[in-house]
Amino acid sequence: MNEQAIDVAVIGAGPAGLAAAIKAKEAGAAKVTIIERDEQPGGLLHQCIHNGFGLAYFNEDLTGPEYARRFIEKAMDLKIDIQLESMVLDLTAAKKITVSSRQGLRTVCARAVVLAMGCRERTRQQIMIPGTRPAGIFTAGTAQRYVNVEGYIPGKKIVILGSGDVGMIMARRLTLEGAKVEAVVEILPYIGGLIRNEVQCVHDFDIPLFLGHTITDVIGLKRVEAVTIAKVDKNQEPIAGTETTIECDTLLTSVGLIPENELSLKAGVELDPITGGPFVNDRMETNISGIFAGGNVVHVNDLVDNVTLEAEVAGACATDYAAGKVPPAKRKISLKAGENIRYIVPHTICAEKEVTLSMRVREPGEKMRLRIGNIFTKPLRVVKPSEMLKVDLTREQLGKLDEMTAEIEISIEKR
Amino acid sequence: MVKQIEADVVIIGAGITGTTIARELSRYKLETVVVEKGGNAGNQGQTKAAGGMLYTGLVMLMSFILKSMMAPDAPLYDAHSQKIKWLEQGFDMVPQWIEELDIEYRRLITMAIATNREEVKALESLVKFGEGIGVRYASPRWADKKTCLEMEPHLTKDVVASLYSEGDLIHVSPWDIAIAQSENAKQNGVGFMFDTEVIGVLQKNGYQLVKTTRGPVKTRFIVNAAGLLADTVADMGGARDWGLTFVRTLSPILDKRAGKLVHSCLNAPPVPGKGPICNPTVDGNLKVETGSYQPTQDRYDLGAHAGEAMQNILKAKRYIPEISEKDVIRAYVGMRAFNTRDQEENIIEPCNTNPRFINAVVRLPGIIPALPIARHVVELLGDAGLELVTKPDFNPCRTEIPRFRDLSDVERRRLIAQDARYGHVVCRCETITEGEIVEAIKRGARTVAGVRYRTRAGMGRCQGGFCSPRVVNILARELNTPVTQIMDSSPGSPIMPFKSKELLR
Repeated sequence: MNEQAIDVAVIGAGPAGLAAAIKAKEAGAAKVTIIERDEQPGGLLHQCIHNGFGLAYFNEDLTGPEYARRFIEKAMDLKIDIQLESMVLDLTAAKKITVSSRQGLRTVCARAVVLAMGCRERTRQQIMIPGTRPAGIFTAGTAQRYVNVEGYIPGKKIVILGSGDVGMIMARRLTLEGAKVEAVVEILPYIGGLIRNEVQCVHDFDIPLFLGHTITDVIGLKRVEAVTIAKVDKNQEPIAGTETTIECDTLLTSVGLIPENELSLKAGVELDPITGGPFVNDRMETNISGIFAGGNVVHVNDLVDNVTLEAEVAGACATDYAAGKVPPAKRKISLKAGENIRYIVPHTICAEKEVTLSMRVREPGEKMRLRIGNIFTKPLRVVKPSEMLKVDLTREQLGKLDEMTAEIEISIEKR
Repeated sequence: MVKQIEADVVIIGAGITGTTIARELSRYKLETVVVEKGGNAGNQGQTKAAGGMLYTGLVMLMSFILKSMMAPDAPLYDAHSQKIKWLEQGFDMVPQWIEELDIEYRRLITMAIATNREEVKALESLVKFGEGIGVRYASPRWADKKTCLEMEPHLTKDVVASLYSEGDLIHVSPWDIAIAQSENAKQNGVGFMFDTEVIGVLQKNGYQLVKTTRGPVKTRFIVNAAGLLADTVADMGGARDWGLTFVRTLSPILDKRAGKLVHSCLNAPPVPGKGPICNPTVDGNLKVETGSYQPTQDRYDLGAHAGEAMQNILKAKRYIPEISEKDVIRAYVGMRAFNTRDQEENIIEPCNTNPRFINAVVRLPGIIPALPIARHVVELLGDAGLELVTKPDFNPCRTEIPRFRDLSDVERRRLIAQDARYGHVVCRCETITEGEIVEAIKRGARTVAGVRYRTRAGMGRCQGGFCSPRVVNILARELNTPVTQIMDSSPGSPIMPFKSKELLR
């Protein structure tokens, strides 16, 4: 009853899910289904009405909804089945998916699955901002939805904690809506998001930026009335005597994103504690055979273009798997995060096909060099934790690896 | 002109004490009105932040010992004390009580963990003490290291032995009981005035006039169940020879990931500086309870401090090494009031100068004795002249909103077939459907907090990041109210006060 057998099931119709499904279909999968909880496909792109999307993928400067539309239209042209307002309640290692919607419960049995659930925002509680818990505290992304999709403004005087991209973009957005952004407060001595957002969203609008500061108190019982900020020392502890109180009615937090993997865990997918996403190989396959993953569910990207590219790999490989064309993995080489590397995706490679490595550094630095084992080096002018490093390794470069290689260390060193 | 509301009894406060009294009074042919400052029953003050532990036996035993360290002269256990009697009677009434109210609950094993010989000795003397005071306290059993780790595989390997007991601990969400009782009392004819603050009581000829922010209520009797504000309200009724003191404690709530690591309510032996550690909640989260009670002058001192939360996690981590501060999804401050006349006891008595004004000032634990206390309040009202004629059609039972997440697939299918909105999941973290949210609004939820406490939408790991705009839209639609007027919890707590472009005009 209510059972549907398909080739590739994609969970989530955001940029990753759309790209994976399109690629799966193009690669020859007959039945591709996307299961999406929202009422429209496109995910978070709908609320990202600013531009800056598609520079890498389309070589064009698009807004979020424009970027989404290209993929939605393509998916419709390809007649991909997109099931909306459908929540996946369960996923098993046997790739049986239980879905709930107004039409009832149904089961989707897929030959291959692509996880494309994206990420969620870290909350105020998770970083334990002290103080009371009145109304008027939002994560930046939730506020962005209220403002750009629902059409409401949270307040007149705004303080933003954290300098992630969404936070900085909301600083500009709320300023344009007539609110006064009193401060962007960042605990680190440097910005958390992209340089372009620092310039275009914060500096261009003369928004006060407090680096090396944090919030030490939230005041207000019903609605936020003020926050107290203070300078922090090297250990990120507030320095007594440096407190300033800023009157405001709204506090937005932009303090990081967490890949959304509660469903993955149900299927037995193993997660990397550093990225918060699944361990994947260069086919974007998780430890559960036939379950692939792409985009922010694997690790938080800073550009949607990269999400698209990564999910395309997952979609194409899922189709191969569904068709029984699984390349015998002769080798499994682990990529080890060395000096000043926080993580590398994928976690393992077979070294038989070209691969794009995505990496993040731990600390910012200048005049550095990236070293990948003994097969690749590249000078880098600056490295920053907020800007992902991407390297394409060709088959020729991988061919230089010794037959017995089981692990490649990747590191950033001073030039 | 607004019709004057007339009542036999006005109860001030819809926390656990007030709603229990309201439900008990609804057994009789009376006009009862509950006046509550907040927007919902049980969503504020002591009830909201209560631990939700309904216990007797081993936990109670440990609490006696811990108390004796603070007050060494007081008797460890006084079987004749009113408080003890109510706690023991109250616990025995719990099963029927939560059954009638259809409350979600979880029975837990209580475990006191020893990690060295000294702690084993402390537990041994606990056993001896328990055996001496009665059969209720003589049930704990010993578990050796191997058994401890079988029972709790994620426990520290430093465990030497533990004392445990079954059947003497039930965990509930405290607000669930208050909400359920308010619904049941309403079913049986009790009136509720929410978002209504009492500003004074006037003594008239033969009646009392309760002045509120929503107009006066004429009544014969008043019950003060105002919790943290019981002193302020008591002053409105007459003289008092007691005051309130306050203590605060901070409890971090951990993700369900951590909730799965622990099955029992874990405690350290009752020795100075130790005590409760953590327990899984009825919803499957892990509540860390290592915080100490700190006296405070300010009953509104509800700010959580990060350092405090971290310390609690670190203490709990010694017992459950796999938990981490990353698991914290929320940390809240519980404020508790004690009366200054006798900190150990409750004040359940008529005001000295006004026999028709009953003060019901309950100290923690306040849920376990709520039912016997409420019945005592009814007796006191009877003694003061209230006619108690039973209502033949009183219905003690109330049904919970369907819990989609806990149903089998067959039941889920049936529910969705009846009402398609039960198939539409709105809160992804807790799997709460539109059907549940609409039902909560039908039952009186007017705010995001009202929906949250009734359904748990927004209580999960993303803390409403995903569902709150959707819940706001459903509230606006069902209540036919503009989004800009939907409140978070009470008047003055708007979520989105302005429409787009409004600030530019």
